[in-house]
Amino acid sequence: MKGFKLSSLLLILLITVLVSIALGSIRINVITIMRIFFDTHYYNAAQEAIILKIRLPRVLLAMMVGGCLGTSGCIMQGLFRNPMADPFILGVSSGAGVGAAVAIVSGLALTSIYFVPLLAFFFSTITICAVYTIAQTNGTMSVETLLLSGIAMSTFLSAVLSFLIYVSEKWLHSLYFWLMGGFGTASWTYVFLLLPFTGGGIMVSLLFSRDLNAILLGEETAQHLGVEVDAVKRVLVVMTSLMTGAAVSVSGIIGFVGLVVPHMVRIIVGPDHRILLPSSAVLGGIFMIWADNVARTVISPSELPVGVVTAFFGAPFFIYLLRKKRGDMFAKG
Amino acid sequence: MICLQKVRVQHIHAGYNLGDVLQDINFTAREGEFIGVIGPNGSGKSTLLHVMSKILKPTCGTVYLGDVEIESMKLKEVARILAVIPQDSPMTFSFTVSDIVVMGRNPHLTLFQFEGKEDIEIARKAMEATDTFHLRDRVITNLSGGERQRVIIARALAQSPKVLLLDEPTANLDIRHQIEIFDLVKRLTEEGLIVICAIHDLNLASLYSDRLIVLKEGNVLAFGNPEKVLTVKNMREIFGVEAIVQSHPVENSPLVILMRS
Repeated sequence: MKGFKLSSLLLILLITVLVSIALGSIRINVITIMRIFFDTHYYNAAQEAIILKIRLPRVLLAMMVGGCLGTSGCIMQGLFRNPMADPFILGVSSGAGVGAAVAIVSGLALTSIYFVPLLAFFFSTITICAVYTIAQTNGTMSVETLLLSGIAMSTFLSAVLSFLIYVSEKWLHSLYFWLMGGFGTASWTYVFLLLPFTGGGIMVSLLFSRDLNAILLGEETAQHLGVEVDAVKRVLVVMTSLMTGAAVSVSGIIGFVGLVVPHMVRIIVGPDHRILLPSSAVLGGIFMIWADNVARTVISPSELPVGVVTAFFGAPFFIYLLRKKRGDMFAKG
Repeated sequence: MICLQKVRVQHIHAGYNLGDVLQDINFTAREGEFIGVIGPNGSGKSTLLHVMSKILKPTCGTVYLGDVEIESMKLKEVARILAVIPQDSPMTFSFTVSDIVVMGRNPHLTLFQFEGKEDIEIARKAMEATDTFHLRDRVITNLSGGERQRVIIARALAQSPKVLLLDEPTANLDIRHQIEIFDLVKRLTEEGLIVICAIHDLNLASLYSDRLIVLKEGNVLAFGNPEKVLTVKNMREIFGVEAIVQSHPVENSPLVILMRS
């Protein structure tokens, strides 16, 4: 039954990808797309360029970023046993924001398009290292101190970011646009850069899914069931941070996906991480592709930052869930 | 069932940040024995159970499961031999009862492994032994306290343990459920399980324990069968209460009757 639900989600993802490639200012129907992919005799240079060089990498990038954020959100909520946790809770996004701002404000962004993702990733990694170090007390790491040091670090970096925005003047628009997130700069290079983080992240998280289930029962209980809780925590914190940092670096700070998607999936498949994690990855991908479809078509030929779209649809939906479920956000529907 | 012949606690000193709570604890529990641990609040009962389950590292001393020091074992290896039942398990996630019980198989599975037929069978037997099989598809958060504690015991049994540690397992339950749970645990000792159980209620401790350990301020004040331990003098010295000790009319175990002070 749970396998059936996951397969259905995968099928929806496949359809989403195909339909999204067809969407855009130049309409190319799904049958033509299939012929471009599979029919060796069919050739149309313009269509092929639009599909293979522009739309496909963009859709795939959105899918992977959504997958990273969905998975990371799911892990964070499990690890902290807190329904309000999201991938950005340890300050990864603020760190990436500062990195991107440094690249843009210093003018480095103009010399190569790779400086923004590079510095964003670099700063997000430094941030998580700092949070991780601060949270260590007597060789152990309690989730409470981890959470609090994450919040403190985020606040500090937000101040730095605000300062950089304040002095950015002529770069204000591009910086602001980056912060709200988007896939306008998507390319195959970004796709291949993100691929190992997405694939690796999802694989590693699946290995720890049974341990995460045990951790949901409380850390002490998990230890009684043979889970090396401290080690699992460390691996997962580092891995989700790398995953989130990589996703943010190529797409900007896209909020709400990592928070809302795991809740939606929990309603569909229940709390077992062995099915919850892969489903969150898939639904995250679906959600993000559709958000990007809205972002790039609604005021075409111009486009909205995708972060605006996810928050615009995500927040009301989240409020709806809160009202429906009351205090019991982890309950199954 | 292959039994563990003994659990040995040797010269254990242990505590949290503010120095040692336990001072030189020594005892041996043998196959099929039910050992009750009694003592006032803060006497170190929970600390002792934490050390024995490898949650807390002792400052010195050793716990042996059979002939093996737990220090040299991984948590997973410990969990294959020893299961713990806490006082109460807060449940915020809506796992089903069978989800929870099957989690008891966790220590027997490798990283990549899914539960097999055998694991499901063991979980089913654990649920039948604890009268929770009919609850298997219910969500744990919707169960009563007594039902939930039986599910937790089922999970512990699914670990196929040789040693069971219980920390005041019935503190939040009504008297019928208390008796049910102690009856169940006592039955398991007949199959060779070693049970070490912290108990507040002295009369329950007296009814079910083969031997009692009395802790006070981290020291073992008395260790022996209930008749030897539960005396008027000990009640005064250990708990600071006046009591009359009689013999249980049916079971012949000591019966502690408390006096108003």
